[in-house]
Amino acid sequence: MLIGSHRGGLQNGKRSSGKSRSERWGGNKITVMNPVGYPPKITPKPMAPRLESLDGKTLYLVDPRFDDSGLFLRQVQDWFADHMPSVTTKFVEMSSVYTKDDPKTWEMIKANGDGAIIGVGH
Amino acid sequence: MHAITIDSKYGVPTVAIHTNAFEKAVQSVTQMHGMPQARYTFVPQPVMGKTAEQLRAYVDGKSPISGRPVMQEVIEGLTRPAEGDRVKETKFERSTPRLVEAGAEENLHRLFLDNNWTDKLPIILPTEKKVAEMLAHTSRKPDEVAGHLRSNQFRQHWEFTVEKVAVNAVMAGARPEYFPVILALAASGVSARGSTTSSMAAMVVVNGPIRHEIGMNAGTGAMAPYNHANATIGRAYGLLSQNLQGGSLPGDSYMGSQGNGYAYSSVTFAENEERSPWTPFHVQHGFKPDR
Repeated sequence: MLIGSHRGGLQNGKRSSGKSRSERWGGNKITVMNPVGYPPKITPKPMAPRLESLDGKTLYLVDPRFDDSGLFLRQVQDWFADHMPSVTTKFVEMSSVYTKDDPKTWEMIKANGDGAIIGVGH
Repeated sequence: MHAITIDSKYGVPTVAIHTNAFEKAVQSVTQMHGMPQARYTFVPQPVMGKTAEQLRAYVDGKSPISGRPVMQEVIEGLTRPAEGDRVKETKFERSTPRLVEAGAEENLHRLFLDNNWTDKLPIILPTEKKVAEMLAHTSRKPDEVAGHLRSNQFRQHWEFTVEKVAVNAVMAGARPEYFPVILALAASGVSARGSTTSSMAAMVVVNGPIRHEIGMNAGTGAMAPYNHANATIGRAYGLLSQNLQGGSLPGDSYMGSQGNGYAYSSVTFAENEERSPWTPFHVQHGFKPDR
């Protein structure tokens, strides 16, 4: 299919020029423009230092308020109680919908916690 | 995204737990936000609607992506040092070329299709001549920044010029006289290829004298495929959205559960200002009825 081209008519699989479709496609190169935009510049972000161990630490379980994400995190909380009882887990819901940043909650976690687990949706 | 914020900005080691359908999306978002080494694990999808017992089985089970125990990955994510861990190079420079390497028409059509630059329907190849014809219908300079788009709040904006918008307008089959409307849509900052599991599509209602000047339909069949301006302006909006925001790829940058057929045309039509029972859009925004 020669989209956007209206030069000449087709006669028995060939145009009036006498060239076949494959000859035209293979022989004549054209230049077209790239439709893609410009990506953002990426600034590498540092990771927080990891904990040496979870023993005696406080972990916040952050519920982003997807449907049933809270129920899921309660199971994570139960897992820690069953397998790592020295870890204190605190369940916290985000203040608003998951699409919004929540600096107050993050500040609270920073002040009172050693680590965080966030999840999960869908 | 929130895990990256808590971890990098607030200095609290954080692990995110996602469902496996988001594997590519998570990799893409962490890369674009400069933290490809972010710690995460996966459980099966869905979480929604499962019982507590079923969800506990997820927690006790293995990641469907890595095959390793979910909680082992959580604990390691909080305790294993970051150095040398999954760090990938990140791009800092604008690298999108202005032109595609010259080729035969058939090959170029295949290239555009394979690169996911189309809506999988045939396109008009954007030659420099056709793009120039499109640009002749705006007073804006080709290299002027026309706007920024992204598919959702968790991704960073991509930037584009007036010329880039014209390229996509040509691909959609739009006539040059439609370009002011298409450029306005691009500059709105609202993507017609938004990514949300709810599978939304955009809708375009065009107000003002240009409706008549370019022959848009505001009457019978306005939302249906019977008007060239309506159809190609809406298609151009979709194409420019996906290409100028850095893509719209299912499982990566598009997560609509079922998708939406309205996205082919963005339900584009003209406001029937003359017969509408409502106040015309421009009047609602402070313009005089006769402008």
